[in-house]
Amino acid sequence: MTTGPELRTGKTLVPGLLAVALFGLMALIVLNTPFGTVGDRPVGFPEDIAIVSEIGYALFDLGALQSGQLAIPETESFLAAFLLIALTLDAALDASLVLAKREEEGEPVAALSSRGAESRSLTPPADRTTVADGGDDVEAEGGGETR
Amino acid sequence: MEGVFSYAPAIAAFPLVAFVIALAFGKSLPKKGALAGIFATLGSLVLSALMLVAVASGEVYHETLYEWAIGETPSGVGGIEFTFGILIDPLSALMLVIVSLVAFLVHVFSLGYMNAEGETGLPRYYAGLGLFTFSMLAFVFADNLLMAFMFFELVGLCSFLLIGFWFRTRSAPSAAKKAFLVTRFGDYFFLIGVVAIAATFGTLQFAGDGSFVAAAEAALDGTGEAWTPAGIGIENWVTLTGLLVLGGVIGKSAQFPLHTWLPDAMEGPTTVSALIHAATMVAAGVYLVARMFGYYALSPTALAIIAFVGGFTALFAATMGVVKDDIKQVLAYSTISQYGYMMLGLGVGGYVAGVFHLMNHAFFKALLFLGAGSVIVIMHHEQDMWKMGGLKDKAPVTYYTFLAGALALAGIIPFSGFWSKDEILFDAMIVGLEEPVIMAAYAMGLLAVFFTGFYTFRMVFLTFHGEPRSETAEDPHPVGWSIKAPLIVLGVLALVAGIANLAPVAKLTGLDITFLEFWLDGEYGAVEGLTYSAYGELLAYETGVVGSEQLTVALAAGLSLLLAFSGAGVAWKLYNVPEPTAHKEKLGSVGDLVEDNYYQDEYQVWLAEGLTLPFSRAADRFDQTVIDGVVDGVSTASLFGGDRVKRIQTGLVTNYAALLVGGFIALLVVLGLYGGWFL
Amino acid sequence: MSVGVGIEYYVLLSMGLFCIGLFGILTRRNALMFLMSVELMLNAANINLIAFALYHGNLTGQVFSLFVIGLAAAEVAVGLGIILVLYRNFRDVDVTVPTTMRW
Repeated sequence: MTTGPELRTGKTLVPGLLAVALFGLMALIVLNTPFGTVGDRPVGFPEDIAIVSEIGYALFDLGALQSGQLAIPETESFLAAFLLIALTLDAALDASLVLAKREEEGEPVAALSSRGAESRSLTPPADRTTVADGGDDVEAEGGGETR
Repeated sequence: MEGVFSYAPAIAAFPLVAFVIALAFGKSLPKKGALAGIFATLGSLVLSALMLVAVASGEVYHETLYEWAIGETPSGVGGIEFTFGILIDPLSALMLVIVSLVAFLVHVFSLGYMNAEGETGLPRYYAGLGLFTFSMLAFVFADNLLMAFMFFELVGLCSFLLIGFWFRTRSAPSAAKKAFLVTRFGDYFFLIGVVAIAATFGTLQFAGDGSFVAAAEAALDGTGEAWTPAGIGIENWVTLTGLLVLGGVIGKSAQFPLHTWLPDAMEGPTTVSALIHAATMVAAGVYLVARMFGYYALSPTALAIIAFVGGFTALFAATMGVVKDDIKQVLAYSTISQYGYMMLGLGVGGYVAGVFHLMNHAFFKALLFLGAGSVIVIMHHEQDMWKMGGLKDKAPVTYYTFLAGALALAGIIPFSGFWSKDEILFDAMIVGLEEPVIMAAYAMGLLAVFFTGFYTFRMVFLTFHGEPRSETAEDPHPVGWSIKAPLIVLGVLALVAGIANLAPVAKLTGLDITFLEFWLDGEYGAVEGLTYSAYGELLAYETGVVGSEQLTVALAAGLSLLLAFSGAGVAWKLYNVPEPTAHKEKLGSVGDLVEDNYYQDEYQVWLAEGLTLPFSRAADRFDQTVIDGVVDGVSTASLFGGDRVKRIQTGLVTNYAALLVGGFIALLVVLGLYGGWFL
Repeated sequence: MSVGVGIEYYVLLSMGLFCIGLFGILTRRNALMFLMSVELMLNAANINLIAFALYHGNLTGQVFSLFVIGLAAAEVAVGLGIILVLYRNFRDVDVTVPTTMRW
């Protein structure tokens, strides 16, 4: 007999009613909005254009490579945003690495570091159980999933 | 003589300089500041005499020296000015001479009383005397009521400082505090009176067309305008403001019921008692009434009250003086009684009589106090009369001058006291023949003559006659010239000062010898409206006569002399024996009542503790619970509200998210309803 | 390409997804489920962007949603790091346990 995790019900679900209320409200608003009757919307895209390549040209601000008939008008260029996103992703990666660094027996153990891997490899695997990264928890048993 | 008036401020400035010198350098001076005071008062005396001569030659002086506040109304009319100014007319010139003379003599006497006796703290003493003399002189020549009030308060302060001179004892600071508080209580009414007069007439000047006296006269005639509160009639308001100012007078001149401080004020040095509590400071109240006499003359009710209070106080204090054993206490009650006479004199319209008695009393009471000071020095600072005796042979100068003062006090012809007291009683009698209230006051004053004669001579006989009753009396301490000289000067004055106004003689013989009356009537020089005849026109008293005027004069003089002699005679019989005994016990319970000062002191303490204290406790409780409670309540409400609201911050992220979503839903609903999304 | 169904359905779909994600944020206690719900909300926003790009005939919405995907990934990386530190300090990944930042 396995005991899987059970969803908590009861009082803890009360705040969820707010989410339901929000859905109801927004559905009401959306259904009352005259989308299709204003102007000549919806427009849609032209039939024979490759959308993905157009996306790519817009992303890198390659206006010359776009379809000659100026198929998708008013698409802005996103080069600056692209570069910024690259920077942000890089920063986020480093941030998560920093957060994951922990101290063990006075020596900082960072993920993806060479020295920590060496010290690990020197000790016999039998002495070290899998630590679930609970900080200075030396006698952790198994994983940290069960409580 | 024109230029001499420009030196008038120096009269008060000299003692002020002496005050500063004594305070700053007194410790290093040889006589600890005495010489500065002596020279300063001598200078004031010389200048005052010059002023007197100048007024006698027909000039008066009324100048505003400094305007320190000017209140203007938007319309430019009816503003009031607060100034410092000098008014030198016959009355103030006379008073200046009296005050500076007595101050000078007291300073000289202090050399023998304080310096020679090895007292400590003398710079403080001379500084106090200097400040007092400055304040009193400035009060005398003040030309407006506010300035007079300021210096009135200042002399009260100096009295406090000097009574409490030996502040390390228990009784002296307590007596000083009592003096200050009782006079302050009266001065409170005085201040209200000053404000009332300023608000009513818009001016506080004593003299001239711009004076409040002239304004009040005009208002009563209907020719002038004056503001009165709540629509009280102008006569009643004039009476009321006069009575308010009288409150300060009663306090300062120690009339009933604010007389209780003066006997306790004897805790100060005897020289201080002579200067302040006999001749000058207590005279300030009576002088103020004389200064404002034109105002009081407009209100017969106020005058009648003044006369009655004066007559009553004269009798009341005289009965208490009869049973006292301390020589200074007898003199203190005598002072209260004599000022009652002056108030009686002024109250019946006897302006000249009142001022005359003021002058004579200043001299003979200062003489008596200084004589008592000499006796105290002789007796090695023993003040109980029952331990004295037989000093007549051992201190002849003191004895004869003291006797001169006593004869003047009792009112025995031809000493000065007789002439002035008799004139007061005469004026009271002739008005009393028409007004019953005044007759009652006259009767009390007349009866007080008997007691005055009795206690005065009891004092003389117990102190100087008979056999010495203690060892100190047998072996007296000698006194030097600095004590004897002022006594001799004042003794001569007590004898001859009566010549200034021999009114009965003038009336009986028809000679024109009432010099003081001429002086105050403006025959030599006067400010318009401040003369005796001007006052006489304002007075509403009718006078009567018994038979003819000569008969009335003779009758009045005869009655007072008879009573004075009989009082002295009873004292002669009881106390002029070699071994006098105390007859006080024979008075029984009446004697106890009188000796306990009719329980006036206890009564006043009860007023403070039993009446005022619970009220002030209730006010304090109101302040703490209601007023502080409101303020504290505001903060309590704020704290309580904050304590409840902070619980929103639970620290649970999901709660915050729920709050966010809830707020968003509310916003959408509001926007939707407002923008018509749901229609 | 043609529009197909009316745009309201796309918007309703995105609203529904958003509210499901919101429900998860409000009720789930495990921090990892919390992060998953956040991901769900981001994707709902993406759908909304794409739908309106079609509505206006403009590719801006589609390019923008690419960025959103990238940012979601970055955010998850950092979020997981935070959950790691949270576990180290509180010995539990239940988000209702750390309530120290309050009055």
